[in-house]
Amino acid sequence: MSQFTTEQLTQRWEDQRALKNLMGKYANCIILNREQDIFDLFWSREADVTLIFNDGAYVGVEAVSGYYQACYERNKLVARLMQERFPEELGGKSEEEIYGVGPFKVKPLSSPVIEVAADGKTAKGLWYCQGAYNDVETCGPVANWTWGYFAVDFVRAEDGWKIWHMSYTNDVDTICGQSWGKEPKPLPELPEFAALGEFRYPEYTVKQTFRAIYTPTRPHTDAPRIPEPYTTFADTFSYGI
Amino acid sequence: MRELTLHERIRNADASQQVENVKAKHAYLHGRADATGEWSVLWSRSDDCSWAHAFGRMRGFDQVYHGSVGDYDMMCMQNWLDLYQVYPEVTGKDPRPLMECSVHTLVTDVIEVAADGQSARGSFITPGVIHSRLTADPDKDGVVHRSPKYCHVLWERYGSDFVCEDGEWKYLHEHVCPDLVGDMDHTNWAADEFARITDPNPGEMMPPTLGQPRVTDPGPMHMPYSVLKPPQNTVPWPEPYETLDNDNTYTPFVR
Amino acid sequence: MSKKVKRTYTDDELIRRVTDIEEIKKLANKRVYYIINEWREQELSDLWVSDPAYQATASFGRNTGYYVGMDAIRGYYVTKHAADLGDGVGTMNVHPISTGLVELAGDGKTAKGLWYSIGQDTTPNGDGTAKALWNTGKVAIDFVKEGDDWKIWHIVEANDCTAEAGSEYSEQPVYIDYATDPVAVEFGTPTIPMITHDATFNWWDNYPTPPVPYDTWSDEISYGPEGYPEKVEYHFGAGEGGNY
Repeated sequence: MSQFTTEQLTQRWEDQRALKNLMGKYANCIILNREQDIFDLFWSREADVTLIFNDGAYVGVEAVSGYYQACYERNKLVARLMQERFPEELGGKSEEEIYGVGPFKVKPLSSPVIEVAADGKTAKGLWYCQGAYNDVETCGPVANWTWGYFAVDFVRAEDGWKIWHMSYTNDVDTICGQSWGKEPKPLPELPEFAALGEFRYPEYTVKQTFRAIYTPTRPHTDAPRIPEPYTTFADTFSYGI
Repeated sequence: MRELTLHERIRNADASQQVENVKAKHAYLHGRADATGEWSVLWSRSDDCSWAHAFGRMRGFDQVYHGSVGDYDMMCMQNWLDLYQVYPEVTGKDPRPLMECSVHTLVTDVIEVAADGQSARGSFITPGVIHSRLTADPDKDGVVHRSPKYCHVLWERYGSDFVCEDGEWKYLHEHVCPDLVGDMDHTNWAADEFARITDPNPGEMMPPTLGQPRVTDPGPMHMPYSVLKPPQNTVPWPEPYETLDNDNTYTPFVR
Repeated sequence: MSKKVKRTYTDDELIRRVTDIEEIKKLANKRVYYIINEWREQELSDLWVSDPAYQATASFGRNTGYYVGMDAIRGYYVTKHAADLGDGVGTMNVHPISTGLVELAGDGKTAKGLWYSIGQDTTPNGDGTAKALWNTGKVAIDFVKEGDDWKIWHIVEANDCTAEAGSEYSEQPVYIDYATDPVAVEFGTPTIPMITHDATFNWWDNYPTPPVPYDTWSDEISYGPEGYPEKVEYHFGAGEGGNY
């Protein structure tokens, strides 16, 4: 810290606070089923924006924004199926009125390690996420523990910090009320929610396993690399591909 | 919003950390059910104080104090009287922490300090646990018996406003939003709620809070997650702001 | 107890203190990922004190006592754990932390922090299944500045609840049997065996105590054994007005 001036230190503190705020808002948008707003609010327009999940990645503006749009479409489908299942409670309401019915996807973010580049142009952050993911699947409403990591590269744009590369990968994805150390017991499928089995997210740009979900036979698996102090992005690693 | 001087920016950076500490102190005092400690130290004594939960909103320091300290202590004392009959080892111990350990952890914080440096606002997601080992309840004949220990899982959201009074940061408004409540570790909120509402004889939901203190603004203000309702946005994240006013507050001011 | 002294700081001093606090939080958070990675030896070398004087008084506490000195800490935290871990297949230990409360000394040389962890420890049973345990509790840390870097000096991980995933916590026995309690068994026989936190009574013992503002270090505020507050031991020693 001794190499930074008073003003630089102040800017760097404000930067890390802004990055925490950004990720907090991102998590709130997920809770509120506002996925359709996420790309415009939080993502960079860099050509190589990247969103990585356990089993694949979206690369590029069209692919990443397309994923969030698909979430929005799925939310609409879920709400419609819930309306059909519960005509007494939800019948007669418009698509807009019922939008958001069903899911409640909590992704709390803890244990942040944030490094802002000395040149102030980029930053890196790693969070642990102990998620409780309530959604509607072909078995109907169901909650899963989703425990994993948000590992993010940020880039400073004219209107503030933006997400450049985001890796959101889980260790645990287990039905709440069951042990992740035992054989999963899927809930029985229900015909009224069968249409969700037909729903498809867009194909990944890169289809590969980035992180294997925990099983009792999984080899020990490190967390994503911890951000390290760096001067400029070329000097450090990327959370992209 | 005007551009801050370097001095003001540093003041606000310090303020942001201080309100994080106020918030965390609340969490640890609440974990011991030390309501007296919390409200005597951390809170503004202003008539603008408020504390809201599903049951509604208490307004003014006096109402908040009596609802959050007096009513809460009463539950603790009643619990101790029951405990003493079946767990004599509680003799000589403060009844308050023996009621339960209610830990609302603080993560996913979005914090903004006003440009004028006189207030700060924060929203939080609070994955929490509420547990107690020694528990006792009277049966229908009034005979007290030992009950199972418990650990509830309670995930909430908080919207908090703070003010700077004589250089010290104090709580002004707290709005608690219970979202997920269940038991460790056999609850599946979505599936359980779906089963409950499709049951021909649906049972009651677990209550999201203890008690029903006197309030000024009646509830319900924020109810736990229901598969039949869109998520509520009761405590939207704070945006950068100039000063605490009705456009930037978790409790509208009454004038 | 060191009295709270209200110092005043220049803008430059204040932003350096603010930065220090952020660095301290980052250090505690880094440890979360070191634990996940099973980098315990690296944790001791990267994140803990290196000055021999601090190493001699470094401590690692849990509900059943303290290991004191880096050699003793290493014996438990690295060597014993490595033997328990084996090849690491099927093991997953995750202790994320939250609710940080950090107090930086007025003189800027030490700091104290308290966090809460809702974590889990999962170990293979050897039959294709694993035992997955939720573990919740406070994590209290003393920090000291060595040169430009903050280092961990004393830690207390005070367990509140242990519950097997997918089972009913309320069906477990009320009382803690330290002979079988998985946290106590894992901790082994520390340098100073003692009950530091008796979770039977929730947070009645208030240990580890949340940090309060202080000006300069004194051993009586330490999260090491030298700072263990006598009055929390048992209520007979409470004194006038004690326990309330």
